[in-house]
Amino acid sequence: MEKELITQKQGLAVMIMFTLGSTLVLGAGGTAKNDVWIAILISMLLEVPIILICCKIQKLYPAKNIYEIFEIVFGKVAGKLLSVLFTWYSFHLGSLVIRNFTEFIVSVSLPQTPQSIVGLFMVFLCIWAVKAGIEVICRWTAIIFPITIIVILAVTFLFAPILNFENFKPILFYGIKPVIDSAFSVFAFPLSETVIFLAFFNQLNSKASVYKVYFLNLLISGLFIVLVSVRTLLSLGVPNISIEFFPTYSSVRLVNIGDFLERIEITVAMVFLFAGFIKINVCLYSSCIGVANLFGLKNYRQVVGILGLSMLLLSVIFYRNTSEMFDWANNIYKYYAFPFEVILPVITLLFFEIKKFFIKRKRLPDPVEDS
Amino acid sequence: MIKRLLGSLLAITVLSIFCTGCWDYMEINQMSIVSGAAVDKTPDGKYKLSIEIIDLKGGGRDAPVHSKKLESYGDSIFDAIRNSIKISAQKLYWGHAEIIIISKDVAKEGILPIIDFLSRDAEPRLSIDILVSNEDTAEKLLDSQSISTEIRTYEINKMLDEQKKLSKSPKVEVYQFINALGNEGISAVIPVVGLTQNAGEATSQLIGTAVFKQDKLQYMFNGDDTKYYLFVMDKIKGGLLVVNKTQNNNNAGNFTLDIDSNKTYVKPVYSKGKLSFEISIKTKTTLGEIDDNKIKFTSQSEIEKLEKQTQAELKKNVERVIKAVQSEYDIDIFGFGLKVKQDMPELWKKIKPDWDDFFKNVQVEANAEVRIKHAGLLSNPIMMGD
Repeated sequence: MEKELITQKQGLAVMIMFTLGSTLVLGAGGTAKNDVWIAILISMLLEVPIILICCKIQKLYPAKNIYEIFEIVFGKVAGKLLSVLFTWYSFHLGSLVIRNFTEFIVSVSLPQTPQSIVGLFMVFLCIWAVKAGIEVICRWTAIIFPITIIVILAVTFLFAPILNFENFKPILFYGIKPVIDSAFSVFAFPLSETVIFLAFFNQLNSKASVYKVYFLNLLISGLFIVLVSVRTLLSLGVPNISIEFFPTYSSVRLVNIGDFLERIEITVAMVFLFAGFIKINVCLYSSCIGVANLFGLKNYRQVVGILGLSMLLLSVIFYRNTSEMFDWANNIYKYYAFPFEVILPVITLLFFEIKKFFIKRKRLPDPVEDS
Repeated sequence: MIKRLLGSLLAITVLSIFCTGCWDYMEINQMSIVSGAAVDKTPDGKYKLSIEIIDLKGGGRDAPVHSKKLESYGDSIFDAIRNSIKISAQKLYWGHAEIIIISKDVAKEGILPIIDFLSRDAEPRLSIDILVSNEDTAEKLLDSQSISTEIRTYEINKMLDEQKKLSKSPKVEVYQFINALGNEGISAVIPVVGLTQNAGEATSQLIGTAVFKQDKLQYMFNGDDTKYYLFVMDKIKGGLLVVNKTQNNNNAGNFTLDIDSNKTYVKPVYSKGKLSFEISIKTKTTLGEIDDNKIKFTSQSEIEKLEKQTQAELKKNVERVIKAVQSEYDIDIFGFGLKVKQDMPELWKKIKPDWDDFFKNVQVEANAEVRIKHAGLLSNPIMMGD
């Protein structure tokens, strides 16, 4: 596989777009009601150890991706098995994002259009982008990222007249339990999904620091999610948020500055489109590398098309309707994602340390020499 | 090379078959743009929708935009809306709808289906204003005379917007209604619109507030009381305070104050097992009119006298309106329960089941602080020499 290089800034931009991805539209931590900001802050804290573990794994073998690391640490067979799991996770996550995306488009603006058609155009673009390589995706992100951030901030600014700060109160009325529950949700989606980046962060250039990318992403994305959630909470109010599928979108529809600046909900769709596109790209790229690695292909590009289209197919058949999608996203996903996001990295690191301790590096390649 | 060329040609031909049209294709001349609607019920229990659509025919640069009325019947709101195709041949587009007027009868049965349609469907906005009609049918309001614009519903919407200079009617958008419906300790209100005679013709006017218990209309009160209700809710942006000589003994004269700004704080107080509320109203005003010629505005004590009178008047009225709502109807439209929940969550958990009883007997004390900041262009009243 030829080596493409990512700079630290590009890596960070891609990661922030990935984390914001579908979160801004689906909303994060809705079950915490008016304590959603506490839930997000708690989940950011919970995320710190996972990030430390991910960075540590990447640091062990800076030139290897997670699939190769699995094989080094667990041996050929077990390593391949874990690779399959990880590949499946990124593949499946990609198809979930496609589904979120098409569900949103079809719900809010194109009710007659078949979902698969909306998804098809998205997936074609993604296949093209991933075939072009991660460098191209990164450079594209570098252009789109500032626009996205400016749009989010500008729209937030326009919310000023309709914010009702009473909506914060009463804090922790239902106790800490729903907040923790919701924090766990936000932890699984979207914060810990950044595990996927281990599949290609070996391509970060030598000056870049994995720690810096991961931690800056946690800080920036986390704050943006808090910002958008709080703005939605303060404008719409809890009763509305609990009944809406897409609260962020609905809240932006309320913005009306002097009968002149209104109907700006397209900005939400735009941000979702940009960020969702990056997220699908990253998932597709990661799963392609996984498959290429699994079957010993020289070039991951051979499988991009077929994986992209299968992702689309899975996205169409996975849920029967919107309600099922939201039920899965809110109630099941956090348990489903836990093994991939937490257990896989933890056992990888644990196994590495145990092996190091007992075998005293006899059979393990030396991490330092490897780079 | 030639193979590639042929291949791409083939791909283009095949793809073009699938790209010949669009789903969800909409052209502005193929849809009827709805500006607002009125909901009634026929005697046999069907919904009757009177929908005002903007007439796009004619046009031209200086021609005023006209509107048309569509009448449509159905077993549900959505059914009635879709049935309009039978007469108009065009699908309605709700993205520009501004208001929905609901007749009294429908409101008494419950307006949940209407609210549900408005918030579930992707076209209408959550910022649509809802109103209750004071007439026997809501439809009548769409037939009345229009004064400032040709489109009836837009005019009513404009009236609601301009209410901020009058403060005699609340303005409630769909999402705010849903919030009042869903929150504990507050009941929803929406504005009432009715007919009045103007220059020999019937025209619509906003006449007060309709109070809901859950989604069902209970009663209405008039515009003057609405002003004091809005004072409690901290929704006063403008409006007048009129103090009459007849209402006070030691009055300086009739005078009218123009409200510049207002801030109201509602504070629940719980002491010795008794819950009470303290309302403090802080208002800044401008003197707009006075018919007494003895007052000197250069004298602080004279101004303070006016302020004191207004404060007493405001306090009296606010307490009167609250008392009336408590004793006559027992519906917490002021959100006192919500205030308790927000400021004293532990207490709220205890009293929530019997909140209706609590609300009826709760002590409310209003305190007004009115400041006269400006007196217009005149420093002294007009002099009358004999």
